[in-house]
Amino acid sequence: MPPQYDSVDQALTVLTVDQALDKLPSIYGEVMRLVRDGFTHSEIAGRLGIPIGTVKSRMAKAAGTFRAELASLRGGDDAF
Amino acid sequence: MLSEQDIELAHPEAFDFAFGNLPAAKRADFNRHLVSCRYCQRIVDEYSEIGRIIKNLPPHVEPSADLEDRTVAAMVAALAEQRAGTDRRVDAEDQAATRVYPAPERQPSAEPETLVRPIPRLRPPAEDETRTRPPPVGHLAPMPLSIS
Repeated sequence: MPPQYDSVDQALTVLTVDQALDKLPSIYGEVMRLVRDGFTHSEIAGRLGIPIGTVKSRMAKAAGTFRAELASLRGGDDAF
Repeated sequence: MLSEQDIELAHPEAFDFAFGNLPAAKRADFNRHLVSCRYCQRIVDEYSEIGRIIKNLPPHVEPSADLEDRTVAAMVAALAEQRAGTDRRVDAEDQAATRVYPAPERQPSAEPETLVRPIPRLRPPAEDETRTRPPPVGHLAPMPLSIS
């Protein structure tokens, strides 16, 4: 069952991040898909066989990309 | 924008907290820690909104291996059914178009169908009705005089 969104703006925001997730380099995308699926940093590190520090930096890099995409969607001003 | 040092010094639980994946049993302890750790505060401040959005992303669904075959088969079946329906309809229309229907007999009406009244002929007007006499030129009509 797909999630329901309260407004067009919310749906557009989720769509933007979803598309940004697809465009991410795979090493970042795989981390963020595991985040989306509810895995913790230690579980992600164990699944991917990478250090926890690498998990943190990949999460930060991917989240920064999402923020930039959303800022672009919102007209260039970074509202975060 | 966080620096690499900020990210390195933040506790990994801060990412789990920001992205909504920290187990409930650890949340109370982390909330206490968060009050005094500025690195974790920055992570939470920076990524909590993104974390909420990520939690709203639709789940990724991998299509089954035979999805393409089943889709094509369903399309072929639908097209064949549509074509068969069209053929049946054309046959019925052809039969209806070529059927010979008897012409209905015409019943004679009791009264004449149309009554033609003769148009009355116009009578030429009498000569007195149309003649107008212009007043004679240079002759003024007498004006009535009133003497008090």
